[in-house]
Amino acid sequence: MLQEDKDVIIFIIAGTAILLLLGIFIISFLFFYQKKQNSYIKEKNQLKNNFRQELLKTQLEVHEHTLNHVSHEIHDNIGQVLAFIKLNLGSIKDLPQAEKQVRIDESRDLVSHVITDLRDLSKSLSYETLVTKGLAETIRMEINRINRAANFSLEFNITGQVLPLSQQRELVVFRIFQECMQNIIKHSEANQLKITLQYSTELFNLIIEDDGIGFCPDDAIEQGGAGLENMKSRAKLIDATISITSSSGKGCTIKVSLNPSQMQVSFDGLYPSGPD
Amino acid sequence: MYDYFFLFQLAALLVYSIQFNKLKSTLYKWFLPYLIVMAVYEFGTFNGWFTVSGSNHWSFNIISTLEFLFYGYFLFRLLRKNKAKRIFTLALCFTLFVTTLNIFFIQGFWKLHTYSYLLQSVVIIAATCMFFYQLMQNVQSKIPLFRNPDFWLCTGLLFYYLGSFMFFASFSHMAYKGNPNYTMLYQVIYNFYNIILYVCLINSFLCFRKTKMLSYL
Repeated sequence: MLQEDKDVIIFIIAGTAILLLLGIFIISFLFFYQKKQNSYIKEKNQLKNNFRQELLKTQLEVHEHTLNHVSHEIHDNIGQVLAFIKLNLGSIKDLPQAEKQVRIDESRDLVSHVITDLRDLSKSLSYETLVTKGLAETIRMEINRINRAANFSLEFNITGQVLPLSQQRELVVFRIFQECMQNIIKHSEANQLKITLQYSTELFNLIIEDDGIGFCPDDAIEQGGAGLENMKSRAKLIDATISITSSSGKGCTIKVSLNPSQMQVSFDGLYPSGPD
Repeated sequence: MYDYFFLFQLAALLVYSIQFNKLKSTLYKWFLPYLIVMAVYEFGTFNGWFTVSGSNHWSFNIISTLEFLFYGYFLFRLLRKNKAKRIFTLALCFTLFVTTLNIFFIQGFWKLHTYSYLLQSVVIIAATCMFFYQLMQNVQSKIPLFRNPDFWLCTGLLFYYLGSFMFFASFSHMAYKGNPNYTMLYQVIYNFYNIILYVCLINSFLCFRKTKMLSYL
């Protein structure tokens, strides 16, 4: 066989092998690409599911909180007043006419007071209020409720024009607010509390300031403060930031911030700023 | 002596027959006449039915052009983007024109049309790559690649045309010298890549067992 022919045959074999490798590379790349894309899609769906789950959890917590409030109101307020009315009316038959009338009038006033309380209570079913009246109004109602029971002075301010955030974001912000209030009532020993909602097209802030005993946020998290961690993870869920400024004896300031306009674009009613 | 790939060709025909009910309402229905024609052609080639003056190149010229048109039509249907379809149609028409010109005026009817065969290979390879690119863009598909009959078809075509490219590129230079090593190389390459093609086709037909692709309905 001529050397030239031999070279050509070697060239054909080498060329064919290279083209075969090229084909293998193309197919492998395709498989690899699809695998990567599938895992990306899976991860995205997982994130979406986590978001939905977290949202549902938040919703349930708000419901639970509302039910607790309703239960306490019925037991501590309405139940007591009704029991008093019952006693009042039970002892009425032996009384002189003039005093009877006084007791009846007193009972009537108490019944109308109970009716007002019941009406307020039905209005304070927070989640529904949140859906129908929005975040600012629901926070105002919650503050009014706390104001009646708590022994500290409460100030509530709204700056800027109230803008609706999406329902999910309002729910999460409201739940953070509830959690803060619960912590303040339980632990802060505060005398004054100031709550501010700041609205602008680019920035929304919820600021909660108290003059209580304060705490060290890092220590609180280290000591298993699940509440603070919860608040942070929830804030992250809606692309909000949360800052906690506090030190021993100097009160506490909690600030939740988010960009309403950015969220409206990326949130799309389902999932914040994640992959589409 | 029959080439080994003929067995795979028959196996593909057998699998097709078994899957016929599932395939008959799809674009793959055209594989029945194609596979029959190819099997008859290969059988005829082995038995020297088409040999005229010691050569059957004229029959290969015809069958390879038919094969090109058949797979070209398939790939045309598989491409979704109008721009890709338009480019591919132009390439098909141009290649067919060059093939006709080559067979009748350049290399001649009785000699193997290697120049136009190489062009056909390039066009088919490019179209399979375009299809793969389309697959990459359509990542939302829940069907894995190995269950996608179109993927198997294109994989078979890619390997078949890539593999035979070098051989046909050197054909005019080497074939007429009667080099026995070259003939052996032909046997190996032609068998190997035909086997890949028919195994891929069998896989493609078997994909219809559970999943019906909607793209070609």
